[in-house]
Amino acid sequence: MNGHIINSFCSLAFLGAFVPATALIYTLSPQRVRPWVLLLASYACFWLISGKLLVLLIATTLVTYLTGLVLGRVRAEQREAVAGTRDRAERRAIKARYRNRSRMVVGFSALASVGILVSVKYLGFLGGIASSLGTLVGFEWHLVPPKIGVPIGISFYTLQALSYVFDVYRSTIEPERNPMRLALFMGFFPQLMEGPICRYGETADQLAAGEPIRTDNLVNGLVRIAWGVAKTIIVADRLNLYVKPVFADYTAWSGTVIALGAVLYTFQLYCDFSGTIDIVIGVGRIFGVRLPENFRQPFFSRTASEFWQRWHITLGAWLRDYVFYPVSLSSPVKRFARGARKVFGTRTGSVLSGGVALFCVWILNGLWHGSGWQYLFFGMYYFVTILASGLLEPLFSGMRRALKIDPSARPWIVFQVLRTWTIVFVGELIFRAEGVRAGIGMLGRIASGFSPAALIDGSVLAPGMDAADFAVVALFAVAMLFFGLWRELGCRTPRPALQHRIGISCAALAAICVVIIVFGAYGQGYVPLDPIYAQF
Amino acid sequence: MKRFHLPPLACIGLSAVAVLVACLALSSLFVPKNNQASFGQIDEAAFGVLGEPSDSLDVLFVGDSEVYTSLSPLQMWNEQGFTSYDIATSGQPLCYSKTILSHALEKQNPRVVVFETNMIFRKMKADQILWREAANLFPIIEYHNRWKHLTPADLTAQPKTTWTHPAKGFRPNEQVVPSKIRDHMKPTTDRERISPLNEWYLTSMIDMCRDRGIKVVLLSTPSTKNWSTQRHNAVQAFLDSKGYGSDVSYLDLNFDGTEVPIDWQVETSDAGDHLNIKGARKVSHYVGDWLRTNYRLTDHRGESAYRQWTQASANLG
Repeated sequence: MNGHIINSFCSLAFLGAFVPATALIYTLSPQRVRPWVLLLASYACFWLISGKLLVLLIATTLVTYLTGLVLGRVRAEQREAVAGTRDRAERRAIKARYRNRSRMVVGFSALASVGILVSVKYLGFLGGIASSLGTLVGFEWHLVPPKIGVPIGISFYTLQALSYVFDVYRSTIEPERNPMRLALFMGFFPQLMEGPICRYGETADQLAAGEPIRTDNLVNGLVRIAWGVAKTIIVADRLNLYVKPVFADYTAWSGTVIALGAVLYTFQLYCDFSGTIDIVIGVGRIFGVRLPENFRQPFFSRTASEFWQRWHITLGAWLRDYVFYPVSLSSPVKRFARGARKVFGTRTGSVLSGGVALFCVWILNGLWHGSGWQYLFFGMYYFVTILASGLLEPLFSGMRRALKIDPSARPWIVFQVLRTWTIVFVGELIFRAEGVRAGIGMLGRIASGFSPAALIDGSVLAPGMDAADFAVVALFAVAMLFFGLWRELGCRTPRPALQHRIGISCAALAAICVVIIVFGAYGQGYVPLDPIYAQF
Repeated sequence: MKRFHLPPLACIGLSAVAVLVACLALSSLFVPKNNQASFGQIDEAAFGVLGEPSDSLDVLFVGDSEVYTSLSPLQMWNEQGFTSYDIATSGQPLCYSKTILSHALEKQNPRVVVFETNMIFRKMKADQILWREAANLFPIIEYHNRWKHLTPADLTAQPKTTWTHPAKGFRPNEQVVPSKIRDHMKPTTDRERISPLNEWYLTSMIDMCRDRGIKVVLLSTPSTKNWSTQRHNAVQAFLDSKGYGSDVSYLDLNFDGTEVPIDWQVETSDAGDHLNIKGARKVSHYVGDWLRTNYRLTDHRGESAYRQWTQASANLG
């Protein structure tokens, strides 16, 4: 991230100047002009973060827009051609012909959008692999990637562009004729850094509506923003004091410190990412745009796959809809599924054939997060874990029955949740480690040098955080656990009248702001954490 | 009976006022009760200036580490007899210079303020400036982390500034790491750009001094890493464009063959970035002499009111 002027959504420049200025201009503008205000603000925000790399966002938007128009035209031509004949075989042939044309258009568009993404983000990594392979066969060459930098949010807006094209291809949505609407969908400024990854049908109409800023939306948006800032500045930035030195040189720390570092990193990542998403959703709310939630109490998950249905929900849903299902339903995989069921039986065969799609999902999930072997390793870790749990499920069920364990009993659920935590902590350790070798080294050190005594004798406090810092993090974790549990159990409070709600929200807003000012990890002695997911 | 409800926007305004009032109230609680690190003072060496007796300083040196490694107020006292202080902090951005200078000028009325020029080219992020201005209004923002060390005494004690730095802000370095740069101050007519924000802060600090009748000196201390002819040209162009006349002077000690010939093999502590104690001695000697000559600074040695300077000098040997 270049961080020209805005370097984080928690920054005063963004929350104290950019958002209020945009809201003011938006409010003062006539309704039909408001979407334009949002679009200009979005491009200005992109410029303030990534400078002239804005041209890449505009290029992807243009390619996506034109693809939509061409697909619409192909579809119209197909309708005309089909209407001109009554012969069913000929109709099928026409449809197949136009389907192929549509596929070619989609392929070209995807190639262009993904090509831009690959050229700015992955070329160095791919070049390294190609160089290594070349050396193996005695051919010395080095691919030097262009040093143009990575524009903010390219992995997010590229997926949005692809989802739009796929949805138009599937006729889920109509191709957009107004380029401004598509441009706003692609570049709406709160989503620039860390998503959520939206579908065109979800947000395009809301963005283009230019609804006035309503007081309840403003207040609720501000409270959501304040809560997000609190998560980021009080917890995520504070945990950086511990996490950074542990991951920078794991050989200097004991297995216990590394294990705690992995746990704290997971919590840091959650607070940073979900905190930023809270800010994003809050800013969207101010402008009357309901953005999709990206987290649903992930730490209450009982399995790894459930965890990924609750963590970064919009990425999981994207991979499910545009990778998992299409791969599962493709002819080669269907053939493989039939064969696997014959050889291994219905259950194991189904899991194995599902594994093909699962492999594609997790390799893409890993690569989406970054261009490094540790991200591929991270993806494969989850692929193996989830596939193994599917294959071994009959064995586990048998063991449960033999041990007379009631799957709905609370202790069993707690065990499952703790087991998921362990899987997630290991995954995040691999994810954050400075390379695969360091990740394996850290796991080895935990296995060989974990000592519960270090948790009591105070030696775990060594890297950067004192007892007071731990107390703040612990209090915050308890508060988040309480709210999470409240939501998880579906508890509801009586809904007071609107005016009371606004009064309560304003009081909460003021209280959160004061807590952030006093307990935030900012100023001397703290280095603010670069938004982690903004780097993906 | 119909219940009274505040309009929604008034609720938002009220909560904003509540936050501001809370910040003001907490500021007086959190502000350090003396200007020492043990009381929570940030940058105590620079803020030690507040511990000097009122109107006792003749010169203030403002800037970053180039200042506190190059300019020794006690050496200048010993050699020239005027009093000075390094209100310098590591990586000081101009917005912070203005804050420290404002605090210092509340208590001091020096004849000369010297701005080291390296900081003029330090990039300031928008957020850095906003935080600084907010912290100037509400010290809680600067000192919020003192929640870990608050005591009941913080509720009642009034802030004092009784401490001063033993070397008057000077923090010398004894290391020797030679500089490899051979073409320092290569002749050119090019000039580096001074950002509009930096220029605004520099101008406002110069105006702050001129309004008080204080003379200003822009000083470029020797540094092969931080200084260049392009930067020199930019500072000169800035002064030419402003037309300050005799109110503002510019002294660049980087050109070869000038009065302070630095031996970059032995007089730098980090390959030309900063001077070590040997280099600092040369620069302090020259700058002290230059200031006394050009601004007719009074020699206070022997005056009873300045006994602590003689004592401080003796303490440091």
